Amino acid sequence: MSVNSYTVQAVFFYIFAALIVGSALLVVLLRNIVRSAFALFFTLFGVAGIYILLGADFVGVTQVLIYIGGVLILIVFGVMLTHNVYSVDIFNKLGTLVMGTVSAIVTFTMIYYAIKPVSWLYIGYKANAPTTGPIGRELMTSYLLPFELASVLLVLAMIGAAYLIRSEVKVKKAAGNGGPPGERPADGIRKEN
Amino acid sequence: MTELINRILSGMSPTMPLTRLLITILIMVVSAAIVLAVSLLYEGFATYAERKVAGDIQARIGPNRVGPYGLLQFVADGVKLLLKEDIIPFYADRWLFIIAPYIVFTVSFAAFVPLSYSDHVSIANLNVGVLYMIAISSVVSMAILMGAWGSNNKWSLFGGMRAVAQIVSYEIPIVLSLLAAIIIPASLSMRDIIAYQSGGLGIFRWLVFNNPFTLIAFFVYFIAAIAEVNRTPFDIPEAESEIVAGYHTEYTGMRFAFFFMAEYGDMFVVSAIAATLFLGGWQIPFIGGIPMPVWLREVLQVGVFFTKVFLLIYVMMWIRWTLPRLRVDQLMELCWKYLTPIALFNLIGASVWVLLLHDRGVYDIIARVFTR
Repeated sequence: MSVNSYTVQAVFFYIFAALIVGSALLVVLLRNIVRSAFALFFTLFGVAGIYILLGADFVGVTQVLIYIGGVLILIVFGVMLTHNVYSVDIFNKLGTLVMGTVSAIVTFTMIYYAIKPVSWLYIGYKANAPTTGPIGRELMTSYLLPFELASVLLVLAMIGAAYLIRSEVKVKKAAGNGGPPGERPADGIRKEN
Repeated sequence: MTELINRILSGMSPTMPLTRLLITILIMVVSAAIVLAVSLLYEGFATYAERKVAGDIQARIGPNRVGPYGLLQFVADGVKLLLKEDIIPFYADRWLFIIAPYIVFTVSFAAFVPLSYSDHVSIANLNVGVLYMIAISSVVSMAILMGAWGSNNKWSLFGGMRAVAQIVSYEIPIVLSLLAAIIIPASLSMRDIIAYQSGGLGIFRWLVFNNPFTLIAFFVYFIAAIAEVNRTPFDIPEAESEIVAGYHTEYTGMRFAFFFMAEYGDMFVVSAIAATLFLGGWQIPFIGGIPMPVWLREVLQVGVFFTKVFLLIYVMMWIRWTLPRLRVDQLMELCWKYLTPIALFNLIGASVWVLLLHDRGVYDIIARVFTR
């Protein structure tokens, strides 16, 4: 314990770890799913803290930007727009409890055996080493294909989402239109423009 | 700040880890307290300035009762808000309702951290400074949603939904226009970006004058930034003629004050980003090349930085009291049909410029022609 930064790092690690584990438990155990969704906020924030503690400042900030600013907002919107949020029975029957326990044990075992063979060594505190440049260079050279594939996938998902929304609107308009059948397409086109 | 901690710790024996840890934490807490005090003072005077500017524009006098020229009005307001009853609606979701204002305020305060106030004055010079600012400001939408849902009030929820839709949408033109400026110094650190803009009499190497695309990017950024901080003409999340007061309808006393102060804090932050990335930050115009003592230079730099930021804030207030509010659909149309395409093509143009001319701006090219 003679290295100063090591001690500081350890203290902050346990603070963040407690935040992650505590809020993750809240996410699972709270009966109110809106509160569960909001508790996820603290979990994701704690993970960002761990990344920054490891010197991966770019990854940590991206975690906040993507997961809190994007994914979590989406989840919260999804939960809030659920019909009768407060009366949804989120605690399932015994069968899913057994399945959940089994899958939890399997996941934990997989992670354990993935981590175990790695020989961990302390490389010192490198918070000030810039990581953005190397990450960008690697993405544009060695990992260009996965990067492009991921962006194509995202574009596909976006087009799919837009298509689903558009088609739903069309169905509703057609159903709500009480006029003669011949006028429907023209009416639909005019409304869309 | 890290330099300061290292300098103090290097004078101590390395055998006392606990003392060193405590001193590190103490320095961090003190520096955070200084930023908090300065930002609160700024927020106080900003509310006063807002009312005075409004008074000027509407041919009124504005606050003039408390203290000379009404300068102490914000102290009186603060005391009043502290003494108000703290009302929590009976059917509110108590936890979310209570936590939300703290998160909003903490986040807007956390955005002050990576700012570079002068050559040596900054809390933390992050390598990912600009990205950090964008990320941390996206957390605000989360907290607003929390308060809006927790209030259990339809106007609050409408306001919260509008706020989130607006913030999420306007982040896109903001990031695209900032990128057009960032690719020239090729750094995300606030200090490096400002240091890059030195020379040219402290004015002509500002990134806003670097090439035509950064000039456009500056205006796109500033318009989108006003929307990002929910100010008129983009204040539909709290449009008082439509949804009472939006997401903070149910908040009273100090909890309301947290939302209110966070708005002014956000104004400072977006103006500081504009000043840093486009307007040369703390680069002293005209007399920057003259040799002068370090302390004088630092003081001047802090003064120059704050002057630029306050001028931008003044423009925001000016716009607020001049223009009417947009409708929801107009707001989304402005973002998706105008600002985003402009910012996108602008970014492509800026990239081509950098590809062809590297980081040489218009000023560098003209200067080279004349020195030949």
